[in-house]
Amino acid sequence: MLAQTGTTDWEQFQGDPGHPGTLGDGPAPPYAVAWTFKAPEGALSAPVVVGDVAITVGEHAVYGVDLATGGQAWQLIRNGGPISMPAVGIVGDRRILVFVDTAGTGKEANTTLVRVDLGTMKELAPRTPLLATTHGGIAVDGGNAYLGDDEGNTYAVDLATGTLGWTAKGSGEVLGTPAVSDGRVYAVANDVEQGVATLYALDAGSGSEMWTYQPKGAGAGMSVPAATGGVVVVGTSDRLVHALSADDGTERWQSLVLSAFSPVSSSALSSDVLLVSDYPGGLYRLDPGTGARLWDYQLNELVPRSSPVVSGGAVLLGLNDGRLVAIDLDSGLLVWQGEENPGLIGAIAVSPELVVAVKGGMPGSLVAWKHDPTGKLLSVPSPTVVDPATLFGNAAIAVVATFVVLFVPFRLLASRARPAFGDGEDAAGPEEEEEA
Amino acid sequence: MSKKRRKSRSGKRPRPQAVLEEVAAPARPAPPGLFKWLTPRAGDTVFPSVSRSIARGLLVVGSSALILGVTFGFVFLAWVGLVALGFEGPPGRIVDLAALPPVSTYFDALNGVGIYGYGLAGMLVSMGFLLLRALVVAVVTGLIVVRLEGEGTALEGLLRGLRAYPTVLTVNVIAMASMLFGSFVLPFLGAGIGFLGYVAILVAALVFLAFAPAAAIREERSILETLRRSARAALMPRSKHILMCLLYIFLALPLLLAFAPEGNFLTVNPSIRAWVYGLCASFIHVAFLAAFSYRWMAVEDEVPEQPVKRTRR
Repeated sequence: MLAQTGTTDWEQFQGDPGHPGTLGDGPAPPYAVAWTFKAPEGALSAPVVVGDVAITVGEHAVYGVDLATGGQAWQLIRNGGPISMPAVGIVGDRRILVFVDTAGTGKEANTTLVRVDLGTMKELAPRTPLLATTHGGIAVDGGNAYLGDDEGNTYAVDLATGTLGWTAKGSGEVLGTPAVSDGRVYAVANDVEQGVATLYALDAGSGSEMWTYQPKGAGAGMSVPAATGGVVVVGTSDRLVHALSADDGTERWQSLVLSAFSPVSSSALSSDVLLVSDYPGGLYRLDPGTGARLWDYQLNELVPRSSPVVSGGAVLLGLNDGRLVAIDLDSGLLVWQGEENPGLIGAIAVSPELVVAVKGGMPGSLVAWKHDPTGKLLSVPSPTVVDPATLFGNAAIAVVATFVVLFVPFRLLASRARPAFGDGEDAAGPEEEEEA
Repeated sequence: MSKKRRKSRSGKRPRPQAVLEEVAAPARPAPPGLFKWLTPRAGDTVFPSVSRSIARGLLVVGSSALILGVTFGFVFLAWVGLVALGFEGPPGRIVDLAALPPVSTYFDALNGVGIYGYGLAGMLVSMGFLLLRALVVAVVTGLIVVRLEGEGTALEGLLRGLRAYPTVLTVNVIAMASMLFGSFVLPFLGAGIGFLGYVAILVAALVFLAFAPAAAIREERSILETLRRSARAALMPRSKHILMCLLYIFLALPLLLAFAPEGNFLTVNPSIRAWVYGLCASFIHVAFLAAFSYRWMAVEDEVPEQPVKRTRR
């Protein structure tokens, strides 16, 4: 049984502050494209899904997209700045949209967190000033918004009032969305200059540092953390997935995968499912208790900005070549894949009817897929699963063919060539030599 | 079979008649024009030319069903073994499965840490690969030497190869140690110089150790003495040995890998094309092993027993 998010909405990155990436009653493969929403200008952020709209941040506006039609339902003007994923939190009976806005450029840049009441579509004053610009997404939990910036700061902002609760300083850039679970905020700061990455566990109420985790020799490039049930999971650039105790950061287990991770990609972690994707396109299902690998699928295509998401019994992942792929959660077989086309597929959001993902390119777009009852399900194993007939058959054909092509002419050549070392007594050519 | 080729009391096998002598008193008429370039010519060095050495290497390996069979069998079994240990590709690695140390050492280490990570387990498995690698190189060199000598059975080649195993293992260990040293030290020099330094380590290891397997089989001296003689041979004037080593490194690393089908595609079921390419690459590796052996056998009597002391004018 999969752990599910509290609502059918996908209000933030990976659906929930702990990043479970799961909507059990989401649509199952096979899929067909339901609609595409093209940005009027520039790129788009990954979407959140609330009620009947998908919300995405564009270069100079925030768009609400009608889930039924893919048409624009509304838009909010935004000054500009880096495009980062928004989130929606609930305060009382109000749904509050939060996103980052930057006015001005360079030293004059003024980055703020903007709150909008989705009931009235009015911005709530005041805006919350941030110390630096941000590329990471926003997590919402318990009436607070949590986000990091490019200078290593992590913030807690009261959703109701916009008050800055606390700021915690880290070393490096917080590129991903913080994870929040059991009263703790987990943020990863990647410090490329120093070649280190640090996971900070902060008290959600005060922002005080509870512990840090900085694996030696792993270098910069830690993945976005995921947390649930007293466990925090991160991937490091030495190809290890680490499960840490939420209490003190001690390591419970580590598991080796084939490659390093994107710093903006998270695992999907619930009590009984752990899914991890590495940058070159490896998708792994691990046992959350032990880290044992249950299956893996090598997609042989980069996964620069997507994170695994579970919907309808399948694991969905967006690839650099524009494909959305679905792997069966139990068997690890590829059951569906979309068509290749320009523009990577980034972070995914799921509603009960649709799978919505951001698509890269200029202009960017949102693409929605719905279950297609007439579509065909595939059953393709990972190319890294041994197929004895192919492995031995291909090798046998190649060995025989290569042997004949090399041996026949060289044997002929050898019969006419002089021995390597002759002394007059060794007139016999190689053709007369004995081989065992 | 000539009695002159039998092992002498000193333990060293009589040297095959020198290349130059062969020209002076050919045993049989010179081959027709097409094959003339395989025939040694007189010059100011006892080393056969690089092109002639490589041609001889290709001929020795390509015309031997046994050496080809052992090479191809090893490549296939190595792939299956790696897959059984958890290796997931890419098939581009087939290209260097039969490479010579230190190129092979690099890939052994890469495969070890690829499967088991950068910790102790990865290092231990790399060492295990190194033990097997040394065995294969020793046996194949034994078969090559017997074939170059023009007499002796495959069994004799096998046994002589096995006797040379400690020396060949030492060659592999030195190659591994050089690379480990490089991986710790060179990063401090920055990316560009570090890379050049790494290439320099590969070339230097090959230059000084390339003759050691053949020398161990031919002369059956102590490990240390064999390594010394291999290095002394490498430093002999006008040998063009460094050129040949550079050529091999260039072939084995960037060139063969760049054109490998399914080069970076992760699969454990390579296509026929990938296998054929990998087997042809393996043939080239073993041909270079034969070429180095041929060169050693041509000059072994000329290699100084003591280091040559150069005096200042």
